[in-house]
Amino acid sequence: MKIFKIVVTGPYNAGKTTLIKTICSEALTTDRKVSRDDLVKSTTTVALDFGLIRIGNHIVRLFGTPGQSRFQFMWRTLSIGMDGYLFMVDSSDPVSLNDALHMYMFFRSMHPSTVHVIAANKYDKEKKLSLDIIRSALKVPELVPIYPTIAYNRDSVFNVLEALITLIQNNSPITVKHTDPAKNI
Amino acid sequence: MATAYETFQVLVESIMVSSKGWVDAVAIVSQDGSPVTYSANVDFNPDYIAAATAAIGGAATAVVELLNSKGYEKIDVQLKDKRYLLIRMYRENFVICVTKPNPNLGFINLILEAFLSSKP
Repeated sequence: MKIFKIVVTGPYNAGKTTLIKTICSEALTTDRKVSRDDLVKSTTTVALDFGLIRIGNHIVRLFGTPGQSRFQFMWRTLSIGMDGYLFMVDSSDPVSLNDALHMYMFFRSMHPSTVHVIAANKYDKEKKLSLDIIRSALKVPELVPIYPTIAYNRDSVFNVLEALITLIQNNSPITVKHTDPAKNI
Repeated sequence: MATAYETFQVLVESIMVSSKGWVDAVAIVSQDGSPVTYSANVDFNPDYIAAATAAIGGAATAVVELLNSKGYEKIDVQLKDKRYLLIRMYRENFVICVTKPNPNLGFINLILEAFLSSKP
């Protein structure tokens, strides 16, 4: 049995907390009321979300980051010692891709060879972006898979996490030629 | 030769015994939020405590950096039921200590200092 540390990250309102709550029966969350009324939901994660699941014979520790960039210090803290990360985007919100790009480049520059997958969340919505558009907007390397995901659907979440664990076990670090993610920040 | 885990296990048990009942739980967690070892007389979920402690430590470090300080010595949280959550650094790990209500805090601090300042 192996223990994996997986970080679930992505911009505000991408569905990180929902994903962890869906897959973990006892999730620890730090949701707090938002004080501004221009945001699209009533609560936001201020420190971390945490949950434990079993995938096959393995224990997976899921650490969800805050999505807002003012909590950027937690992105670094929570990613210490991670085996891989799941980067979530809201596929139904083209505007959010700007924030997503900034955050994705932050993670790629901090952890250039860490295995990760992209979860195109809210893929059940009618107006969703194609996976190709998301790949292009986020400058996702061809080697990195993008999975259509529905964060409140347990099977959907399980599948994407299982895929990530398989990638980690196959020990396939991300190697991309001629790419300096830091330049894009 | 004792492994790091055995050393840490001895450490938490020594703190528990030496604290003469003022401490309900002691845990050591790594900076990546994983539990290393713990000893507790109360309900204590080490995985969740470890994750949350790493977040507290990270947030404290961020504040310290904003204040241009070199670091922090300790984090003490007084709970509403008058228990205390004490966090210390030890060999790149966090040591978490949960006290009984209205503890002899000076005594507990002395115990922690004695054990955590000793050379490995």
